[in-house]
Amino acid sequence: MPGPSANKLDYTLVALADPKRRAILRRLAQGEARVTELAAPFDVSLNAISKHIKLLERAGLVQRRRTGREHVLQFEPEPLGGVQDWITKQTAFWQSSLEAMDDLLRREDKADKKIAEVQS
Amino acid sequence: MSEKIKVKVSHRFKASPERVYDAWLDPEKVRLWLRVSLQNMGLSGDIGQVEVNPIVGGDFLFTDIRDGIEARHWGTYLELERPNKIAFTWIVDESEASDPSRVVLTIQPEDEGCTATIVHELDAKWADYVSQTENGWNCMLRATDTLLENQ
Repeated sequence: MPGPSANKLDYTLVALADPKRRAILRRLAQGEARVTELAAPFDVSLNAISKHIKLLERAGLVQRRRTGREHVLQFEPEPLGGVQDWITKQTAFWQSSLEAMDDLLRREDKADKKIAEVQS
Repeated sequence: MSEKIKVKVSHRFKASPERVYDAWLDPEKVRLWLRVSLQNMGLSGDIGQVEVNPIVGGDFLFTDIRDGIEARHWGTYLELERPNKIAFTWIVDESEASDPSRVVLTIQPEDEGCTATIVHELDAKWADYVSQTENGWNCMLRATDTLLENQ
């Protein structure tokens, strides 16, 4: 039953789906880092790392700020909570649906009973 | 290590499995219970379309109005085994359509009535980010270590 935040959740999930991006997040969870520092452990171009970082930024999992010529990146945990929220809301929705259906069927029973009484 | 996020709920019914099964697929009844369900969630429950094509491979569409905007829920029936099982995809946003979540409703007969269980599953690598028992991003990130080690 996710509402308007479905897209945001989707961005989070896309961002988390890649092992390199998860590694970047783990690194940033230990403290902020420059883009060049993040690229160092990986055997890929700075350009490729930038693309990963962009997806993390889109999800709001990473914040970027400029200090002089350097871009410093920081981990932002809030969107991870969005995944948890999805679970909470979805649970409430299905539970509520089953209860509403139960009410409906009970009302039908009562109505049937009344009709039976009238007819007898 | 779990590969999926699962939402699971159950409810005990006095009604027979057949009646619960049919209430899930009858558009008139869907309209009634969906309305109450949405209202219980604090929404208007202003139902628009309820279209159900109850065959395997058939689609359904439920819409309701939230603050003047139409919210759409749609999907495809994957399994229909009256009166015990209904499986379907569940999509709320176009972006999910290519990789939809999956919902399975199982209806277990009991002495008098039945127990209905809904399991809503998201296939995902990121499942391990979410702890069902603990909160907070710390444990989610700890889980990523496990995930990375396993790849």
